[in-house]
Amino acid sequence: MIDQYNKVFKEAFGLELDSLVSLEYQSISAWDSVGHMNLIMRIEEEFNIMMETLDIIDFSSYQKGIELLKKYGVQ
Amino acid sequence: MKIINAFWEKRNLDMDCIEIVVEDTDKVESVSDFIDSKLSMNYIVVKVPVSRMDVNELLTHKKFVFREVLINMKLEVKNQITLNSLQKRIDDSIVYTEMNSVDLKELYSEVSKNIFHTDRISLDNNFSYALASKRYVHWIEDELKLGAKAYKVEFQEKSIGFFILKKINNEEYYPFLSGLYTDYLNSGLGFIIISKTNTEIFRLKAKVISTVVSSNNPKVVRVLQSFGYEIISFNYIYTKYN
Repeated sequence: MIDQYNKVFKEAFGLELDSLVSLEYQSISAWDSVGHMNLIMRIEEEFNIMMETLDIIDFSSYQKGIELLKKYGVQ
Repeated sequence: MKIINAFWEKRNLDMDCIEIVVEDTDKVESVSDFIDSKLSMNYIVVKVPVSRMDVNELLTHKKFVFREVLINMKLEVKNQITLNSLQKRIDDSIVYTEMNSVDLKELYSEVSKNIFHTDRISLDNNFSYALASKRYVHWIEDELKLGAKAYKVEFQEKSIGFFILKKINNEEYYPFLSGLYTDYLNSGLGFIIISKTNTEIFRLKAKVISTVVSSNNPKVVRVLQSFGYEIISFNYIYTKYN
């Protein structure tokens, strides 16, 4: 799972693996509202899930995302 | 040149303020002479069209500080803006309504929590976020008195943000201020505020939405462009204290 998750982040924001772990919403210019929607769309597609709006709002960091995805059976 | 006596800044910033709008046809010597004649003002704001490098150089020479580029953007409202499937899903779970007096109190309280960080007052070390917030509250109060309408945006019965519409004429609206409330600043929902703003303006049967964004706020420019807004013009903004 983590490899797929990292792949989505890398593709969405064009980042290297070592900079992902501490990544938070708005910590880079690409992760703004437009970037957030793009990221969530890629995640839903990659893991074939449909996230609830509340979880999309709570998806505020790389780490938080890992925690939230467990709810959808992604771990 | 257009000269604006910004009397409202006396109340907001406790300063005598003048705003000078330089036009393409102004001679640089005239701009220089006029500025020299106004050095008794506490705070001078100059708006310069991008073509006027000579005026930029003049202002730098006169020790004005460059603050921002104001970007004028416009959307022709032919149809509802297109949302992708994810945006549509989120949009469907969020509603907006016109504010009542209780909602306005909440708005002023949120604005006082410094939800805006990208305007020239907030970013100016000579002022403060608190002063910038006070200025926003006064601005909203003034515009509401003049007929602007404020709307709250809600998710699961909680206010997540707002937008305020000013009618320019029967065909054009200016959403002069909007934003997310403190608890939702990191929610990624910035696009929803723009989407709901556009939905309401579409409902009002306007043909054009015009707005102004600071270059210090590129994420809003990105959202607006993603919804089809076009950049119409740029203006440099300089300020000076005396």
